[in-house]
Amino acid sequence: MNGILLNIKNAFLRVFYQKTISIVVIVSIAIGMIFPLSAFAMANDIIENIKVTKFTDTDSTIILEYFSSFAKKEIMDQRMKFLTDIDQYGYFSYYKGVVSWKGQDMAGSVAGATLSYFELENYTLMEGKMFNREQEEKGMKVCLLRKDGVLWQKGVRVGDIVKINGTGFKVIGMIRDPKIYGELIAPYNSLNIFLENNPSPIQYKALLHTKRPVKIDELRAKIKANAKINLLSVMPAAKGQKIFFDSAGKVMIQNLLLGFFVLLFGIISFIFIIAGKVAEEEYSIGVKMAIGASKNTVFFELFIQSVLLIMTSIILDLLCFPIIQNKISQLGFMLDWKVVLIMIGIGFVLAFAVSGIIFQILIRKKAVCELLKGGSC
Amino acid sequence: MIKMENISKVYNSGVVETKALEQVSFEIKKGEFVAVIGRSGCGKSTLLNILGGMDTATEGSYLFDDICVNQLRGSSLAQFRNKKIGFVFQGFYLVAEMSAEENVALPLGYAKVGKKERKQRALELLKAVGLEEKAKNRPFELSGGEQQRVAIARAIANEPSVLLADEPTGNLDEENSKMVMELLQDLHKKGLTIIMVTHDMELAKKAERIIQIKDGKIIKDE
Repeated sequence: MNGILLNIKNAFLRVFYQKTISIVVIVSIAIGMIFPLSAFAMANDIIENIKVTKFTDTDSTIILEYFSSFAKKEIMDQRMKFLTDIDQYGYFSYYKGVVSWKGQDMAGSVAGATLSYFELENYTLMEGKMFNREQEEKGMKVCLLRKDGVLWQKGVRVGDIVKINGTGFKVIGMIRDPKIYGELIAPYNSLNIFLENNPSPIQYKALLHTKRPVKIDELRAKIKANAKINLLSVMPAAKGQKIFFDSAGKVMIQNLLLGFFVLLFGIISFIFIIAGKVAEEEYSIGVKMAIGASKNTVFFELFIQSVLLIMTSIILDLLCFPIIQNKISQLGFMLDWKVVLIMIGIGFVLAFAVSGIIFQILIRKKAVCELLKGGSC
Repeated sequence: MIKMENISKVYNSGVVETKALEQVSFEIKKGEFVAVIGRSGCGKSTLLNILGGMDTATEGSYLFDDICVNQLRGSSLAQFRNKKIGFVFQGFYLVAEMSAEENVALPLGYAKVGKKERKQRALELLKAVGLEEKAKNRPFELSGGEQQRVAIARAIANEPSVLLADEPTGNLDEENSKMVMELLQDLHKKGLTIIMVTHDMELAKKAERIIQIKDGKIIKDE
């Protein structure tokens, strides 16, 4: 034990003594390892995601922003067609319009929502009642008020009639905190009036309930095919589940390949640098052997030096990861302990391989006096 | 103590074959102070390397206290160098990243001596060579003479049977040379066997026996 501690101390002394070389090696290896590190992190995310979606339901919130102002019913149908590709659960639409009551007009916002949407979003019915399925399916002109909305503040109450773009809607209930924008919320189909007459932008939000990973890339392609839809944004799932990216697999392979080559470059530089360092200080190894270090001891010290350098590179990578990952990918994958453990394992294997190669080439076959004199005895 | 019989060493570069030693035989008794002299390239350093287990003879037999050194390999050869031999080199060969104390303690560490004892012994040895106050200094902070004294302290750390000195004063000025030679003579007086390679006849005269080598052969042993 004493001997091992001494070897470790000696290895540390060597690394710190050669500060400049050590820093170059550490940075070189850190750059090399960041790509496989990213690829592993991404692979881990995908595996985790598949695990989640295999055994549990997932909800994802997809927002289709800004249906263009000339939106008509056909777009609505297209949106519906697009959404039925996944197991849709609930959705709502959001409009800007003129809301009138008791002779007053105001530019307000109105939301249309399905009942299923309310089943997913928490809300509290403060007064009156929620609209029912018949009202939703028939598109009846009823609506709910938000307690914190302007209309409520201005004295509109349950039972009143409010006009939206000139069409009357009866207030049947008052809710609190439904996580829906708008002064009032009507059944989804009741607001087709906006699709026909309203020239202002409309935002749709679909709350999706899926039993498989949401394939964002497929969705993007479909949306892209519809020129009237400007933007699709996908938010993280409401209950913390993950979203599946088809392109992640490709990026992962790209990262692995890139990582392999950069790492290979890093290792070769590492070997050259360490080999240069060893050659430069062959005499130092020779001295240690002359005074009693065995070749195994020298190998062990080299191994510890390599471990120290590679582990410092990994720590550097982990510290820089949040910055670097944004440069490599926008996919938002995360590091977790499994990825870190894999990298540490790889680090040890690398350290063993590198010190083994150096030992084999530079030390093993030389007599002590050759090491001492840096050439023939 | 040391018995060499018909030792030869041939270096083969693949193109040229060089005979560094040819049929060298001699014995050295415990407590002797032997100087090996000869011109540069005559084979005296090769002989010292073989004596110290740092190189192997191409043929011949080398016995050290009944140990057949040319049959030792790997860790047993490392142990032989660690316990039986002390080295002092012309270029000092201290480990640059270690302090004087750590350099002296290093062979003790390879001999698996405990940390506390290593430190204590290293300080005692540094005191013996007059460098107690420079224990924490690293080699580049020491003069040539001081470095060589540290090297001597390190060489005797494990109380070896033989001290091998290869041109120990070759890189030193007159004053430091004198100091180093006095140290070696003190060690000899305490019973240590010393074999010193030198091309300086004046230094050789301080030994009690001189072996002269020419073209890899012993031409004089007196």
